[in-house]
Amino acid sequence: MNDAQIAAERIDRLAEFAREAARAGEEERAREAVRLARRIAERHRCGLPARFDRFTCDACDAYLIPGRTARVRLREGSHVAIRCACGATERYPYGD
Amino acid sequence: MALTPETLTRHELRGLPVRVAAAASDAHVGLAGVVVSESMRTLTVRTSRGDKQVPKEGTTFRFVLSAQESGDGVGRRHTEPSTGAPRGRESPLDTDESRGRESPLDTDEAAGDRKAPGSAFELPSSARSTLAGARGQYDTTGVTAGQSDGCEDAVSVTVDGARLLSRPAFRTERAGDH
Repeated sequence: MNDAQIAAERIDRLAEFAREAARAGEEERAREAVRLARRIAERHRCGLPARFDRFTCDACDAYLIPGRTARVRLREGSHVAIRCACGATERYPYGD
Repeated sequence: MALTPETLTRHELRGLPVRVAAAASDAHVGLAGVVVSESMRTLTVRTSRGDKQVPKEGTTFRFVLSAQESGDGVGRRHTEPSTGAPRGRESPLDTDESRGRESPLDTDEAAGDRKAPGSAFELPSSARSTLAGARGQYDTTGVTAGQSDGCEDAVSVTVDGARLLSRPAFRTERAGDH
């Protein structure tokens, strides 16, 4: 088992941990896990799962819970806009 | 192949149930809970009496890897480790040699005593090399796995906290060595 595999698994576990923490209301713990996952992805050059990307805030590293810490709006024909509680907006194209 | 005793020191510890088997401070011995945070020199453990920050150095941790946890990520964050009653630091774990699984997790003898040889993937701890580069990728010095008593599908892994001394983001690359 090489480093890349372990790194990918760590990211998966951290994503899961961050989601649980965010749901339990521990945003800072979640943020810590998100930051660590990003750092690991950077170190190992392995990228992040699309789901992780969509459910975290690029600006403040929060793990987003739609309806609670994030507002999701669908824009006709083009993209999804996700606004984090911190005010940052991310846009993701449909079919991506 | 996920989180196994061999890869534990290089894997993610958050979310794992842990028990402090031995520590430099009496206040830390016997703490049990779930790892919620990690820094270069400490682990933060969520216990029933609050979050406790435990230094890695000089501490022996006993992590519990359950079968489903090594399968699909972290399942239960807020549950206590599924081990039985609190054990002393020398108490042996249950051994079960009749269980005929092919998994290398199934060690038989040598559970409980972290320095004892005989686990399926052991390197004798006396083989600790002075050259950091001489260590193999699967160096398991200071790591011992055993069958956990109290839960059928759980493996308890005893880790010398010194093996975890590393920045969390670097631990995978450096095999737990600083």
